[in-house]
Amino acid sequence: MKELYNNTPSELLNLYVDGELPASMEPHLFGQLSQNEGLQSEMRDLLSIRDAVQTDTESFTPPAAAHRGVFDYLGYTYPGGIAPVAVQTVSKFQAFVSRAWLPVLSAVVASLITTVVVNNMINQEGTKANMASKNIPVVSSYEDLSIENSTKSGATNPADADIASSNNMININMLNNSTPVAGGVNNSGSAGGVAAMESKASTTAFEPDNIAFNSYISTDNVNSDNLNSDLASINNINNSSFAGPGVKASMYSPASSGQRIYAPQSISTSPSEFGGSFLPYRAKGYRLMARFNNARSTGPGSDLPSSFDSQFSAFENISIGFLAGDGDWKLGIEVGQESFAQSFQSEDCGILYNVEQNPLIFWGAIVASYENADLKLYDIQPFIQVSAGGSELGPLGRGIIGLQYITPRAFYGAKLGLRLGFESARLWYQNQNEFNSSDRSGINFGMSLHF
Amino acid sequence: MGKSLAEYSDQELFDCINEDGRTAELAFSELYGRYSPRVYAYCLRFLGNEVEAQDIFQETFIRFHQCASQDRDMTNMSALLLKIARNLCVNSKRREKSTVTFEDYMMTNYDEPSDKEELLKLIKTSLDLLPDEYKEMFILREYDGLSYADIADVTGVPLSTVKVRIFRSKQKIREILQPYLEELSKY
Repeated sequence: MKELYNNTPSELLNLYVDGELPASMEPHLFGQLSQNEGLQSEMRDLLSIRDAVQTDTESFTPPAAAHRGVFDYLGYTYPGGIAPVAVQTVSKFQAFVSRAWLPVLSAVVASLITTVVVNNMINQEGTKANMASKNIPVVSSYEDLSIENSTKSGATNPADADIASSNNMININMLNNSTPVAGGVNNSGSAGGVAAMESKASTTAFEPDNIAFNSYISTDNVNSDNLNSDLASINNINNSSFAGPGVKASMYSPASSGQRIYAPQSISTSPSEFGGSFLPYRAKGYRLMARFNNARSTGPGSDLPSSFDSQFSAFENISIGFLAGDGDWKLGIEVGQESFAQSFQSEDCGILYNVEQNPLIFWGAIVASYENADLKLYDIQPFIQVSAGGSELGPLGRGIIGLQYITPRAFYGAKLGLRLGFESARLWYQNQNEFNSSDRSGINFGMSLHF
Repeated sequence: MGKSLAEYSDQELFDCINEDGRTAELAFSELYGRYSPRVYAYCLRFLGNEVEAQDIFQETFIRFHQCASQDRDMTNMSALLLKIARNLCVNSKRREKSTVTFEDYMMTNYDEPSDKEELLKLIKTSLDLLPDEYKEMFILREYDGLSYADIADVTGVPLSTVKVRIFRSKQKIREILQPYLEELSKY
């Protein structure tokens, strides 16, 4: 069937509204339009219909399921920017746990390693000091007999006096004026608790420069019942074994030689008295710290969606740290995760395209914190913390300045600290041989446990 | 130094779909972003059924991707996409008659839309009353913004016929909406 088109004013108007009317025919239409009220009304109706159609957002918005269906079928990555994701199959909490378990585990392992290493360092450096202040006896040493025991021993420390007076202690005074110990101790063959003493004393040697501070022998397996026999055994040692074969008593006689003579100071047979690598007081100055931030990206790309806008931004921007140090400076490690907005250009097969993303990255860093105790006011203390480390994408630097409050009293062996500060961080990353950086700054808050 | 993806023409992007990996994905995503609203609008308004429209919409882009894999020239992207969508819609129409779902009915009757929203709902209703050959002309013109020549290309009918059908489709819709439009013109 042939469909007719007669160029009536109404038809010309339709062509004009659709942009299809030749320019040569416009004057004719405008002339009609100025005189014909029906034509004017028709034009209003056509424009109203067009206007209404343009508001039909439902028709112009394909559902997310349709988007996903297309891209999944073609094996392409679904571009989230086209439409909001319709169904979120993983909860925020699950997503957080799945991302956080690795840094948390790393923090725990790193903390344990650091604890062991630092403890061992402290033990090696401060053996004498620890012995003096903490009553940790050494396996064996010698007393300078020319110095009065009471003045150089732990008498200034009440704890030492207690320990010295315990049943398990044999005061070294009993050994004063005796013949100094030699290798013969090993060969004494004494019974009871002295046997243990002998075993611990196997490393006995003369150490002229070593002045011990305690003057007791600790033997957990010496009890009051056999104390007398032990003393007798020691006397035997004094009188015989110490001056055994190969040892010339006169060599060590103060009267004869005037030399400084050393005698066994303390012998510990209890593991609890030895070393104490993991005792709580050794952990003084340690800090376990968790902090969050609500920083948002700044500089280029700052208009990108930031974690600041996220509902659970604090939990997406979390770090756990471990610091050690008794002074103003504390050093440690920190691991965490946070999102850094990135905006850069990439070229692929001749196509230059902008990449804008806000990936959540894992990072680890070495941390130094400066906290001057003199500046503390009402238990509130300023701090400055800097860190340098690396992330999945590249190196990372961070600075934080703020205030922290530490409870004056310890609860269950630890003081609680709260901190609030301002932080600024920068991430460097490389893309196609070009270095880019991304900055973040914002509020930092957290809590810490001080041991 | 290359151009930004948005600066590429449809033809260039179409050619890139044949590339490997990321390039093809980016090119397809860009074309998809440009034309998916119009394709979906056509499918939804022509079929009048959301579920069916989604199926046809997805099928359209999958077919389009297959077309791109074949070494062919493409001069009018929107015409090509809408031609695919139209063919699929027509086939679908032949298989089954579209029906107004209960949910659509409830939405229509219980919403209290503004004047413009109400007019839009009336337009949608009146579209359903049009014969398919007029309805698709109206959709291609008003929803997809195609020129008369493009519509002729998509539908395969002469340009003069396109002009007439578009004109008559609008006249029909005006007739249906006339009482409402008169009321609207009073305010």
